[in-house]
Amino acid sequence: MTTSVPESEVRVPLDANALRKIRRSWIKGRGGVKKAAFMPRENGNDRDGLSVSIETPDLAETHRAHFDSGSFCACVVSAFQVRNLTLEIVLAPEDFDPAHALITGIPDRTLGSEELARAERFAEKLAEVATEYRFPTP
Amino acid sequence: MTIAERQQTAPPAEVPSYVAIRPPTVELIGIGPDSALVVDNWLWLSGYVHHLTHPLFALVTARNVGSVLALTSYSEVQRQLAGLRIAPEADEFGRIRPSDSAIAAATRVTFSIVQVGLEMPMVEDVSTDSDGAIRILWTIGGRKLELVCPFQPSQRPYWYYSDAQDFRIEYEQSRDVLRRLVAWLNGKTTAFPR
Repeated sequence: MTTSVPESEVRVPLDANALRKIRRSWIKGRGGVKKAAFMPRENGNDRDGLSVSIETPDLAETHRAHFDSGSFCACVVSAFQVRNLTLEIVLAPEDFDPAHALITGIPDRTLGSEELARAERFAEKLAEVATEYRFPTP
Repeated sequence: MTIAERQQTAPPAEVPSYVAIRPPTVELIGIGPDSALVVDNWLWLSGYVHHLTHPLFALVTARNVGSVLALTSYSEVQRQLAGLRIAPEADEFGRIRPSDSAIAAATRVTFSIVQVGLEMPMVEDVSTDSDGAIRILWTIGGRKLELVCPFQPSQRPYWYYSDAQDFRIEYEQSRDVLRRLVAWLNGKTTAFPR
């Protein structure tokens, strides 16, 4: 899975909710989310940003099919929470998901231990504000 | 070696029932998913599941109750590592099952905590990330201490630790570093370890 680079960065509105597909095993017992859900991969595939989809009522069924299956589920963070961490969230539409977006500003962990430490910190902070997402019943 | 009966009074809640608290001169053998065996002033440790797959029988000295708690935490880490060992190899995100070298590194470091006799709290989480790195997390209050053991043998394990204001990575795995980090985690030193 690779993320796409937005051609022109369109900031997501502050009141938007960003859904991130994660392993169900990354949900904590009390509904919180583990840090691993937001750690960029070490091969650099998340250099452009962490993939999310903006919660969109018209795309709920598409997102449910993509996010909520078998050993996977979705967690949610708000654009406000993301920006509050000094990160950015920008639209990066894809053919199969026009609401696709990227959380950007996380340091490239492959550059060194300082960047790795900061990437760990951002993952920790994103996980602290994230919660498990339950799709509305149709 | 004689098998002692479990003590009649209930042990502290954080200690599994099969780990009895007795004076260090008493022989004790615990039977359960994980076992803690105390013989005189020695403490024999063998995670039962781990023992089935790895004929390793480790010998450490039981110095205090703190080391019993560390032992309990270690046993729980071993139990969860055994589960990860049989996890699916990968999914669409990447690796799930950790490598043998990552498991060995996690075992070595967590066992050294018991060896040193540190008061380690019960582990909060043992899991892998999408790179197959093992992440072992302990938390007390706002202080978090995480051991990360990467999948690739060429990559060094590291500690990531943080509180509300600070965060840091530490690659050194010496006993001195362990003592400093665990003392900080337990709130025995307030200064953030540098």
